[in-house]
Amino acid sequence: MTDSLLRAALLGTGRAAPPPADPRLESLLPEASLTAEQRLLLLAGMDAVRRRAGYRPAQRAQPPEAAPDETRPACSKIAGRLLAELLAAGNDDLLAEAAELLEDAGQRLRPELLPTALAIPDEDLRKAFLPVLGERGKWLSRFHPAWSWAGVKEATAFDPAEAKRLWTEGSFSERFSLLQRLRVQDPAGARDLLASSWKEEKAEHRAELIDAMAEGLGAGDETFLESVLDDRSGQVRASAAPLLARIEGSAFAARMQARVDEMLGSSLPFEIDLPKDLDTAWQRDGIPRAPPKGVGAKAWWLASTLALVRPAHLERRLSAAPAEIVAAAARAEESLPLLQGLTSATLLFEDRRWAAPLFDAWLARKGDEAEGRDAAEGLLPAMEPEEAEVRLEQLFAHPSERMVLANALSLLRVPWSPSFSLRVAAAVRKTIADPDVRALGVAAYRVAAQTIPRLAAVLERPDAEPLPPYQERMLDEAREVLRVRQLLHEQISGRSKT
Amino acid sequence: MALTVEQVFALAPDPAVAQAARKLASSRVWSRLGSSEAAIWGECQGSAKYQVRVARSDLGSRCTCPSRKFPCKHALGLLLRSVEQPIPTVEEPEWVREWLDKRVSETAREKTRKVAAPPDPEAQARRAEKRLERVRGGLEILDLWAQDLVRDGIASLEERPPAFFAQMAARLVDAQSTGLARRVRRIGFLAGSDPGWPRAVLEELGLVALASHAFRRIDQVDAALRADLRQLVGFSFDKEDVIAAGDRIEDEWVVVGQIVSEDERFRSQRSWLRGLRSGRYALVLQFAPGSAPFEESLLPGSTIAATLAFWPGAFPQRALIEDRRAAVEPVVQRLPGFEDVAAFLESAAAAYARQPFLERLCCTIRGVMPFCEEKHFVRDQRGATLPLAGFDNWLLLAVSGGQPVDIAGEWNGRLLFPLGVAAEGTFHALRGEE
Repeated sequence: MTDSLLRAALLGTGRAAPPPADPRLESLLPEASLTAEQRLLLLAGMDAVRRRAGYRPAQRAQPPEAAPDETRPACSKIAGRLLAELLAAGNDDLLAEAAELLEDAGQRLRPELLPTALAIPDEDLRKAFLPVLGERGKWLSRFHPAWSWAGVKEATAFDPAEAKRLWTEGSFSERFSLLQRLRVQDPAGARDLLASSWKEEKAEHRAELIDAMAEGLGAGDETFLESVLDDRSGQVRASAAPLLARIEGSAFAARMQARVDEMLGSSLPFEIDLPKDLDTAWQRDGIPRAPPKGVGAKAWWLASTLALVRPAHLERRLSAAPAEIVAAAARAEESLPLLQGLTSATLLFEDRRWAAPLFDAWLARKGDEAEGRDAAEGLLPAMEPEEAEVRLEQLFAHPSERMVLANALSLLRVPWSPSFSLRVAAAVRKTIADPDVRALGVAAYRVAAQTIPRLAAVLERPDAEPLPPYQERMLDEAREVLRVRQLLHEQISGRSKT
Repeated sequence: MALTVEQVFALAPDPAVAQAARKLASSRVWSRLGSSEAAIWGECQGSAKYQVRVARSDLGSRCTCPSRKFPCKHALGLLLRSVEQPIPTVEEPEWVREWLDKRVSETAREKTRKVAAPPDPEAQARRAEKRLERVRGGLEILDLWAQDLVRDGIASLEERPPAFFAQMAARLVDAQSTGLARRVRRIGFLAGSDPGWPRAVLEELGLVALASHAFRRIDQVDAALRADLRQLVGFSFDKEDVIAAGDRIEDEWVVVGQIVSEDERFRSQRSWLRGLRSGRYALVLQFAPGSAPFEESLLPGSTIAATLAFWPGAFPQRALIEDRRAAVEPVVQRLPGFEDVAAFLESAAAAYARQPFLERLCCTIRGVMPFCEEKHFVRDQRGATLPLAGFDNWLLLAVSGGQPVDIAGEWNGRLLFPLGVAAEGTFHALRGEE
């Protein structure tokens, strides 16, 4: 009945006469003469009341499945309140620290935080929060497709048939991530999979797929990678070259060493002898013949070749320590490509002993601003932490154009050691009259927990002149970060539970 | 007074004040902190030294700072501090006692304030007659407008711009029928809003037609429903009249849910209360300009002992707090309410039978399990379910964990909009509709 009323109203009484109504409602209509429209409206009104008053609930026989019992205590209410604030503000740095604290303290999020925590978009942050979502979080994630990351773990073992299917039918990014994951478990199997379809891959895909081989790289990969050097695409060859260089004792590594030996001579100072032209063997090994704009071809060949040679080889060949070789390179005629090549090699082969001398050489260098900044920023996290710390302390007292302190601080690995944090606080105190507020903003996030009060006290600047407003604002932000961190540590690690 | 952190934050006029208060609560700016049965106080060193005091009875506060926010960050910070760490009980200093004394006498004065001179009854009658004429004219126009809609068919309403409804609403405002104007504007929001909109729009049009029909025969309905019809059209009752003539109920009232909505100039707040002894529901509406405080501080999840005076009607809901006695009581661990869905629906049916134009009913049900199967629902112990709408159903599901919880919300005859939940002994406020 009511559906016919609704149909009549949708269509319009001007098009079709309204249907006869339920006689029980009809009998309630007033005696007075009504238009068809008035009649329909009054019937609809009465019907609305009847529906509301006569609402019949749907039945569900089975009670819904409840979440399993929790195995960890929830964090305190105040910690919860802070976390809610951080989640609302999307403060990923502090959230990451909070998640780690919760995990270390064996606590979990309060249930009211779960919907916002499950909506975290950042992959790394998700990983950090995964263990502190509790049973409730895992249970809740089942009901929302976008929260599946928190649910049951993916099966760890690969079904070969499934892998094959995904490899042939998947999108490029699916295939790339499959290859990466497969390399962790079964490097040879993954390599065979890649080789099986190698000839059919597009050139731009080939270069990227080769990058996935970096995971689980070993001597077994040499033959395949060596064959890749015959690829038509220079980009593909350039992707394979660093991988081959990293395989200890590979024929490729020997070829590159021989080339470098020829170019640099056998003792310090360097006797540099660069090739007149680049023969095809070099090009096959991924050294591009044409340099980028503004770079000399020979310098480019030198830098590119040196970048693929293990720095330790030079120490043996020249019978000299890294610092001596770097000093000689800085003085040499071709100093820029030499330093660039050595820097790239240091980063590729992760040779920590070379990072500090190279960093110093770049900072001392005149000119080549852009190259110097890139190199210094790359080298800083590659150093022994103690070496990096010493250099950063110097930057507080003697700012460098080339290495902005705030950037440098953010490159240092976290967490900072307590002793370094204390030294930073001391360095800040010395410069507090005219502080580098950007650097303080970075330091506030990173100083070790036990030194937070120390830095906070320094940032109060009790006797110093006020700064320009925007600097005061940044300083205020740094103070707030320290306050929140202090509270987080007290609330989560200090007491186990309220 | 066992306030919770959440409740204190709920008092904040905006998030900036809440954040500032949190910073203040944990910092070392406080001195001469003290508390008594009646108040909490302290001095806060900001850009100057401020004296901050908060009354325990209704959480009213006074601070010497120049902020126009209410409560200010200092008062809120002090409250927060009192929740997080104990404040020593000491004798009230002069500046606190004076303030408390003044508050008591002010409240008393308000109560005894009388209406100035009685207005001229003849002029009043003339004005009333004139208004009635205008309203009747407005109803006439509304009637023709609605008839046009169903003649053309309501399917096309989806494409009508909001101005189409706003125009009709404006004419009703001109005709001093603001209540009906609001309902017409709402029909505009319903049209096209979700797949079920035609039914919702037709129901609303039907109810408005029914109301307009009834209003024109208002002499034939009983006094209680007459009052409802007048309010529905837009005749307001003065608070004084409510106090003078309204039904009174003295009880302990649990604030089970609250919605605050803002527009550019003022904020309005809708609070639902349920009496612990009477089982009655009350709706307290408050309005405040800008960021000014609402007159009555009503914390969701708290209990107040008070006498409420109800607006007249066949199913009285709206009420004002006439007399509030005891201090704010501990936050509830469970909500008072119906024991199952059937009991609630039975009471809802009785309510619609008495007052068919009710827009919404408060619904509190104990021991229901929220669940999600594409959409959100609650299920009672006997298997009956109600569909949910609103913003915070994921939060509701999260705090329940699939266990029975007590839920409070607004029922519009089709959907329940949750406003509060008591789960594992903790009350959480939820955002309802809008």
